[in-house]
Amino acid sequence: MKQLFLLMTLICSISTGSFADSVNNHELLNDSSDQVLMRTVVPSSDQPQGEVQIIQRGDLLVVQTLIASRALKHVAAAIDKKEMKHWPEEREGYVASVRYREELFRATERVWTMFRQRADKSELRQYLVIEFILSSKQGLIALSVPHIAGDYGNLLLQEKEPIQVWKAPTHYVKGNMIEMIQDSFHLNKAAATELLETLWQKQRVESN
Amino acid sequence: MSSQQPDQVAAYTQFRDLFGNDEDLLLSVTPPHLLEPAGLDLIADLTRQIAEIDGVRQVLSLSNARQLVPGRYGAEDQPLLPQTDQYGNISVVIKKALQNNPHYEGLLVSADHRIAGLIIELVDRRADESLRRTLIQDVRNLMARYADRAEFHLTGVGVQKIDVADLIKRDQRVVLPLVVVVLMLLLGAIFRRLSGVLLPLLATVVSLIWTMGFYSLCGFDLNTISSLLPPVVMILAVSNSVHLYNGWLHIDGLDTQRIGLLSSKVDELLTPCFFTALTTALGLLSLTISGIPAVRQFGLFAALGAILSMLISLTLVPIFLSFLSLPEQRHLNGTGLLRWTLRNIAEVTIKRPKMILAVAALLLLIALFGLPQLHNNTNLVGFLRNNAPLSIDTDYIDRHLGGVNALEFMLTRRDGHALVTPDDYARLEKFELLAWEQLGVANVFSILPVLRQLHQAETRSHPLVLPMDGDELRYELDLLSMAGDQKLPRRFLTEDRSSARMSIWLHDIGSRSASETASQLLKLGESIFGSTYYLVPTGSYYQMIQDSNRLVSDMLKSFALSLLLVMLAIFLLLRSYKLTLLAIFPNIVPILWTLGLMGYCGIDLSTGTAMIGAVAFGLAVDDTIHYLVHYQRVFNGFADRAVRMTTTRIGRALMISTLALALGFWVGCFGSFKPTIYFSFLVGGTLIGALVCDLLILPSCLMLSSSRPKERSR
Repeated sequence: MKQLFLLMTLICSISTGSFADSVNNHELLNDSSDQVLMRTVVPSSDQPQGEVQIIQRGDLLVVQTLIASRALKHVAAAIDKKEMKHWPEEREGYVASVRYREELFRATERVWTMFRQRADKSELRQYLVIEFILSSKQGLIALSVPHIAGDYGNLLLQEKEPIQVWKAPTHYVKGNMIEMIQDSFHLNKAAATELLETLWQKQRVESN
Repeated sequence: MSSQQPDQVAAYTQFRDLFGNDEDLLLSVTPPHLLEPAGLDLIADLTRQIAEIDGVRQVLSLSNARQLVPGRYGAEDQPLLPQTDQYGNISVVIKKALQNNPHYEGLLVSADHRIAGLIIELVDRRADESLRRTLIQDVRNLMARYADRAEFHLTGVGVQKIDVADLIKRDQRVVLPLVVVVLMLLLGAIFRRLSGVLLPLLATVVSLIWTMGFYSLCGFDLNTISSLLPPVVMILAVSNSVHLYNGWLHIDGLDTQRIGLLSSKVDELLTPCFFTALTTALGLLSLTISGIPAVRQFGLFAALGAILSMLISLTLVPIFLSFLSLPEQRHLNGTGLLRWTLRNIAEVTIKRPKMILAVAALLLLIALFGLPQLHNNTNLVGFLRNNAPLSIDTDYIDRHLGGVNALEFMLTRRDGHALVTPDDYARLEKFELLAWEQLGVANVFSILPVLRQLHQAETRSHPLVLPMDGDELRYELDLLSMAGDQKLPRRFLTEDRSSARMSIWLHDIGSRSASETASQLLKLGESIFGSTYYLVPTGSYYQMIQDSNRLVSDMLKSFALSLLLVMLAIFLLLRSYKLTLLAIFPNIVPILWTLGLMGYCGIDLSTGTAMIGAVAFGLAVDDTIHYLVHYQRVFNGFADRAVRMTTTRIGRALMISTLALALGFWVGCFGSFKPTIYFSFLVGGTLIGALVCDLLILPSCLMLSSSRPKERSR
């Protein structure tokens, strides 16, 4: 019964997402005004697989993960494992996390298929952008296939093609942003929370 | 002991720089029931405790082995065995795990699942001998502590080196005193005088101290070959003293004139003693052209010992003799039996020289047929007696787990590119497949089993195959380089993927078969990899079999050089082409007899036995020199008279010195190593053979070559 409930919740959630996709999210994803507040190479500069950037996008705050990895599935598997750890079944946000994991899996498969069909065989890295977007009204998650230039530490997102965009509960998006800041910038939970709150408050003051 | 061939040393250095130490230790553990919680807990305890020992890089066992299983995003790393509290039906779990990871069977567990194997990888501290010794002792202490819970066996190149060093020390303690006792008994029995025992022994001990002092000053350690130095030097030293003492016994005159008489006798013996020492030293020096450092050291310092012992004998012995009264003349021609024997030998050689040569030729012919059966074969563990603990341990592990010696191969592309294409790995797999089919191959390790398992876990493919697609291969290689534990991938593939390693483990088949396998593998490798790749064989075991391969050519070169130098020395001494040529025959024949005997008895040419020719020739020719010098001195135009006088007068000294040499060498049969035992036994036998030739063949040749053989024919 519980599983059935979960399944239904998931279907509803995906439907809502699809609905959200139909809503024009162009503004929310438009990165032309992006201002990078903080950035770091993840998981480490020894074995770089991408960057996590904290971005100011108009009145939005975005934690953006640019993955540029020769082993995207491996990176996605690590994210999947962290999601399971951070969002256990009993925690509020679990359903949103299940949705995120499903979408991430599908996106990874899609990128792998595109990678196998690429024209330029000298290109060895696979790319994916994950954005956790926070506005005053809603939380949003977006997965996109990007064009990225530059090297780790200076990765430059030139353009991106959204694969999936969906609304997610604000507390889940915010919670995940904190987790990501904590992991990527090697902060403790309190410091990561404080950083996010400071940036968010500053953002709101500036946009008002 | 191992070779210093520049190309091999360079390849081995590069190999160790890239892949680390190849001298793994192998520990087998046989608990009453391996696949039950108690057995598996024991393996886990041992693995943990051994890993904590200083000098251990890592330990691989059933308890920490990993496997890759299919997960949502591809391969997931998991322990091979479940946690202790989840053992359940462990036997079924293990069988399933091993089915999926066949490369672990024969390595971490025997085929019948009764015996576990622990691979102990050492840190690469090449010069730190004490670390290795302490580490092995620590492992053995652990084995002793758990002895009531399982049966243990430990082997590996490191263990072999330590145990061999210990056995050398044991031999020093046993063999040297035995040589002294044997020499004392022999000298006592022959001379029946205290001075006849003490003086040669004094010269021997002083010579030994000087020689070994020089050896030590040069910073050398004793090894299986150079451990022969002390007994050999002692035996060489006693020979000159025996001739001097025997000469002193033959002094006929008043005691008041003993200084003058002794001085004359020393003058008389100076030339033959100098030349016998010279020829012995030349024979030994010929070993310095060997490619094996241990043999070179032995040749050089044994030659030094021969010269030093001559100088010491010619000074010390006469000085002490000058204080003694001249002996009674009953000692002049020895005991009745000896005198009778020598007289009869002389008569036979005078009367039937052709018959003697015919018998010698027949024996030589028989020996020649045995020569093709002579093979070079070196086996470090096989050097030990069958009941030696290391021999038992190695045999046990060899029978139940996968081999004990590894041939290492390094593969690189000639164009300098990384090994990242499916073709690179397809070729490597073909090489792996053919390696399994070669003689004596017990196991083959490389990056391939890991890649196959990873590919299966990534793609859920069956059976275990390599990725055929370039993207998949690159992706999986990337996954390997991102794995948390890099020890296993780095063991077989360098970080930049420019060099791959294949370890081909062989059963304990000896260097001859291993060499054939290595040659065959190289040939196959050349056809598989073509001109696009470098395939370089290396590793400590490969070095050892290469050294063994060079033994025959080294031996022939040493022997040829020894022959040339000794003949030159004899010519300088005798100034006669005829006598120089005649001197060759009685010295080559016994060596050929010995080599033929080795062929018939299946005794292989190894690091020890290959030295027999050069050493025995240098020693055997001493008797010939003494004989010919005396013959020349007493020759008055008639061969029979000179032969009769020489055989009866110096035959006794020849017999005593040869017997002393042979018995001294035979004491080496109490050593721990078969090459030492064979070397000692066969050199002693060759010297006896040479004495027989000097007393029978040489006089027969002299009789037949003389224009006026018999006095009565005048």
